[in-house]
Amino acid sequence: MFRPPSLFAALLSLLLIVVACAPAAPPAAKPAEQKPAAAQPAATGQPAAKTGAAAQFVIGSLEEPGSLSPLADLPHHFPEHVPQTLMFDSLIQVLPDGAVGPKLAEKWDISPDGLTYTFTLTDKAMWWDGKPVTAEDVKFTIETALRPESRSSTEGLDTIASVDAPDARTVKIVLKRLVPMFLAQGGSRGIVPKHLLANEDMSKSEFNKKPVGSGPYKFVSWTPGQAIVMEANPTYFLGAPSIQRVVFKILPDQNVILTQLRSGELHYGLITPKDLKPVESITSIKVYDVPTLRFFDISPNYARPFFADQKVREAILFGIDRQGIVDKALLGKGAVVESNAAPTSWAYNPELPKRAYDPAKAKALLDGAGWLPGADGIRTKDGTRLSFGVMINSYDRTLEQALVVAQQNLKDVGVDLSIDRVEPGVFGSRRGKKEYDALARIWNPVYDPDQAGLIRTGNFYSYSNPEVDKLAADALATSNQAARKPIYQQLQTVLAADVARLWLYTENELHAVSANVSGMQPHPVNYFWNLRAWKVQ
Amino acid sequence: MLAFAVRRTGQIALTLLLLLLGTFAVLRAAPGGPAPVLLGADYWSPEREAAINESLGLDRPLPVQLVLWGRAVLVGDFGYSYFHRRPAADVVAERIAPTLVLGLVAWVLSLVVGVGLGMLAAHRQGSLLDRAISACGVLALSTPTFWLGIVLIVVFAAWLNVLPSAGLVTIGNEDSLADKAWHLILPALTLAAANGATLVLYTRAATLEVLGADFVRTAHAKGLGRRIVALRHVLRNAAIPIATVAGLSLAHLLEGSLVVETVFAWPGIGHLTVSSVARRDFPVLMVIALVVGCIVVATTFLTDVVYRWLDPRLGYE
Repeated sequence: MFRPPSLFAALLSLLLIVVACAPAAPPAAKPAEQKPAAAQPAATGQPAAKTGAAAQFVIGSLEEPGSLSPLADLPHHFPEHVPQTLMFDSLIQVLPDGAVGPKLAEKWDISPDGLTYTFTLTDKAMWWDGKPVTAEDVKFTIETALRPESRSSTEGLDTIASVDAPDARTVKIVLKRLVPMFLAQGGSRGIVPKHLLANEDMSKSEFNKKPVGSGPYKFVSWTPGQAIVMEANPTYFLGAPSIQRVVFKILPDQNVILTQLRSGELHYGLITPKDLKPVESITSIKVYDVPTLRFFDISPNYARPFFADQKVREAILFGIDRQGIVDKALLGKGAVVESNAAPTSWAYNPELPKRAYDPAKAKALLDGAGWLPGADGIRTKDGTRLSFGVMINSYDRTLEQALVVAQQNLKDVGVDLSIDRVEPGVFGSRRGKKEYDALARIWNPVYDPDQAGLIRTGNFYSYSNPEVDKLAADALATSNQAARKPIYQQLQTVLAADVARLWLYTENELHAVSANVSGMQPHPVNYFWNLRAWKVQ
Repeated sequence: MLAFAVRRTGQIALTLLLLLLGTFAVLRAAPGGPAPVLLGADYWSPEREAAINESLGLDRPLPVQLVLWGRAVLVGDFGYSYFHRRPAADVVAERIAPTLVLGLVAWVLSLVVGVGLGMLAAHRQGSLLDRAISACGVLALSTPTFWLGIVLIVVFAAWLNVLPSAGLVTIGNEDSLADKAWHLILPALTLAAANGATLVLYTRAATLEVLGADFVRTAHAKGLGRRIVALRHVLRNAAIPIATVAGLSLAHLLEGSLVVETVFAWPGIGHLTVSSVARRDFPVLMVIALVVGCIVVATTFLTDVVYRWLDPRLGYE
C-alpha cells in the first residue's frame, strides 16, 4: 500500500508549490536580507518628478470612478469628475468666478426668448485618433445621454427639446422652456465621439474602461483599484499641457494619503480639517484653503407635528451653537450660513440677520409655543415629545460631528436630537418614502444658485410657502443675472425668516498640493480646470 | 473513494446553490437599491429611481428575477455591473488575483511561523520562551488589524522609508516581480499577524495535549531522538486540530480582508465586496458570492482530504 510521505516533507512540498504558483510571492525569509535602497524607487519617496519629459503629477483619491465615460458622469463626484474633465471637452467651461467661457464652442448666440442656443464650434479640436470634433458628436452625446437605456445622468440636459447639427461647426439646441442655467450646466457635459460609439450600448461598452476623448490628457491605462494613468495630448487644440503625465491614484485610506503626501509619492490630495495639523508641518506641501458653494442644513419633515410651528424651528436654530460647530468640527475652515447660499455664491445675501447661539432665547420661544419640559427634561406638548431623529449618510463624517455638537446643545434646551446614520441606498429610499423625522445633508449648487426644486411646493420634505413659490418662479423667468440676483437675495431673506430648513454651515475645501507645483487656481467645481497650465518645478 | 467523491460533489453543488439563493434573497430584501448611487444624491427623484429600476429589471417579481439570473448564469452570462458598466465577471476577475496572492502568502507565513512557534512553546512549556511566545500570540490576536497596518506603514514607509506604503506595485513598474514582492510584504505581515497568533495558540494547546500521551513516553523510552519524536510522533498526532484551524483560516484569508485591502490600497475582492454592497451592485455581488462560495467549499474539501491523509483511520464514509 502506498505509504504517505512524512508530514514534514508534505508541508515543505506544499510550501514550495504555493511559492511556485503564486506569481508574486517570494519565500518569506528573503526580503529581510535585501538591502532596499538601490532596487526599489517605490520604497523611497518619489518627489514630484523634475522638469523634462518625465514630469509627473500624482493625484490621490479615496474612491475609484465606476466609469471613465462622460455619459456615466456622476455629477460632482470627485472620482468620476476629475479624470473625465481631463480627458474630455465640453461646449463651454465655467471659470472660477462663475462666468462662462468658451471651450469646444468658440461663441454662441441665444435667441431673445431664451429658448434657442446656437453654438459655433472651433474647427481645431480633435479626437485622440485624429478625427475632428464636430457638431455631430455634440448632437450624438446629448441624444444618447437623454435616452433612458444609456442610464446617463441627464443633469443640465433634461430641458432640451431638440438638438441639431446643421453643419459640422454649428450646434442648435432648443429648450422646452427658459432655463437660465442651461449654458453653465448643460454646457459643461463632456462630449463623446460619435464615430466610435454610434452603435454601442453605453451601459456596457468597453468605452467605460478605455475612453477616447479630445481632452488635454490622453488615457493610457487603468489598473483596477490602483491608478488611472493619463499622458499629455501634444496636439490639444488649446495648447499642449506642460505636465507630461497625470496619475489618478486610488488610496482608500486617508492616513495613507497623508503618508504619501509627506513622502512625495502624492502631489495632490483633499484633506479634512483634522488633517491640517500634521500636514501644515510638512514643508514640501502647500495647503489651499478654498471657500466653496456647498452648505449643510437639516431638512425637517413637515409632516411631523412639532416642525409645523415656525417658533419651534427658530428655537431649535437658536439652540444650536453653529459657530461652535464651525470652530470645533471644521476647525474654523468654514462659516455659518443663515439661508440657502454660501458667501462665495454670486446670489449671496450678506444682509441676513444673524441668529447667534442663544439658549435662553431658544427656551423662551419654546415656552411661548407651549412646549414645556417634561420629567426627563425633554419638552412635551399634548403628549408629544420634542424628540426627533436626523438621518444622515454614513459617509458624512464631519456632518456627524457637527450634529453631535448640536445634540449636546439642544439637550440643554430640552430638545432631543438623535443621529441616524444610514447607507446611501437606504438614505435615498427613506427620503423618497418620507420615512424620517429630519434629514441632514450637503447641498452643492455648483453651476447656479437656483434651488427651486428644493423650496417650492412639492419638494421632498413638504415645505410650502406661496411667497417662496412666486419668487422662485420669478427667478427662473429671466436669464439676466443682474435681474435674478435681487430675487435670490429676497428668497434667502424669506427662507431665513421662515426657518424653512435648519441652516447650518458651509465648509471650505482643503487642497494639499506639492510645494513645487505651480499654477493652481482654485475653482468651486473643477479643481483641475487649468491643469494644462500647471508646472512642476 | 469514488463514492466519497461523488457524494462530496453533490454536497458541494447543493451548498453553492443554497448560498446563491440565500445571497439573492438577502440582497433583494435589503432596503434601497442601486438607483440612489447611480443618480447621485442631488439628482435623485422617485420617478428617476423608478425608471432606473425598470431598466435594470429590478421591478419584476423576485422569482422571475432569480430565474432570469439563473438562466443567464448557466450560459456563462453573469450580467453587467450597474456601477462599473462592464461585465460583472470581468470586474471580479480583475481583483481575484491580488486577494488570492495576498491570502496565500499570508497564510503560508502564518502557518510556518505559527505552527513553528506553537510547537516550540509547547515543548518548552513553562519556560520563559513559552511565556513570551504565548504573550506575543495573545497580543497579536488582540491588536486591531487596522491599527497594525497603519503602524507598520508609519514605521516602515514613513519613518524608515524602506518599504512602500500602499498599492500593488509602483506605477510604471508593473512588470517587475521584485517590485510586487516588495509591496506584498507589509500587507502580508498585517494579515498574517492575527492568523498566525491563532495558529500559535492552537498548536501549542494541541501539542501539549499530545505530549501528555503514553505513546510519547514510550517513544522516548525506546531511545528515539527528540527531533524525531517531536515531528513524527507528536506533530503528526497534533496535526488534525491544527489542520482544522489552518484550513478554516485559509478560507477566511482568501475571501479578502476589507481592512487590509483598504489600508494598503490592495485592489482585491474584499474591498470590492463592501463597496458593492454599499452600491447595491447586485450582479457583482452574486459573482463574488459564487466565487467565495467556491473558494470556501474547495478549502473545506481540501482540509477534509488532508485529514484523511493525516489519519487513515478516518477513512471515507
